[in-house]
Amino acid sequence: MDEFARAAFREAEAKQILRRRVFLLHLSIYLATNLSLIVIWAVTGAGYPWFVFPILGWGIGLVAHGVVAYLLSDPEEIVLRREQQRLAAEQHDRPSPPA
Amino acid sequence: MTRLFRRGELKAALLDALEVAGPSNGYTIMHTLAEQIGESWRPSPGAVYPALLALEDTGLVYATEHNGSRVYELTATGRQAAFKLHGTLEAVATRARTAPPTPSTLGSVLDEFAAGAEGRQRPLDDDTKQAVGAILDGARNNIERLIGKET
Repeated sequence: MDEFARAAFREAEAKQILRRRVFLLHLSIYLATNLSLIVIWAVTGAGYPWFVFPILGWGIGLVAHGVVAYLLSDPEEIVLRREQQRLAAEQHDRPSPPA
Repeated sequence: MTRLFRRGELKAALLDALEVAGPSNGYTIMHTLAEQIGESWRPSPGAVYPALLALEDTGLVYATEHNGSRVYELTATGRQAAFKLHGTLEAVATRARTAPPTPSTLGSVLDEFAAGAEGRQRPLDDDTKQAVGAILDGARNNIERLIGKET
């Protein structure tokens, strides 16, 4: 693998890490906000559980964001992953030098 | 960054660049593209390398190892394809030159300022913090007056 290929793999990795960090930030905001809503609900008499609506509504968006962050890939990333697997297989099949 | 290129145009432009530059490694191909297109496109190996791999897969380009670097060259089919698609790189370059510049917003200017500020992670004592806060308050007032005048 030459330096250009290594730079491409590094870039794809950085992109994936950034995407996952943005999702984790989204998740922490979701948890903090909804926990606050539950606390407000509890201290104001714990009546009708209205907090489930933002939990469910926002939850749909959060799940969609998680799918994009962890399960979907750009076409470029798919090509790079395939190349990485090919290189790993090539390395594995290569006979080790005699001792 | 690849938004400048429409579907399939990056690969066509790479064929064009290989025809112009001859057998070249990834960085040379990327620089040939960047030179033709100009400043509005910031090239990156993350976009160019997968496109070269795809061209290799389809038999339009073949690569050989030379001094630890992969050198890409057009195959006979690749040369035919480059002949058919000739002008793609020029068309993309023309589009890049004539595209209207992205308008600046207060947010984009502030982002640039924040990104360029040195010592962002340096801890500040209370006096310095207050002094920096006062400078920024003054700057905010000036900016608000300036923007208020413009609108």
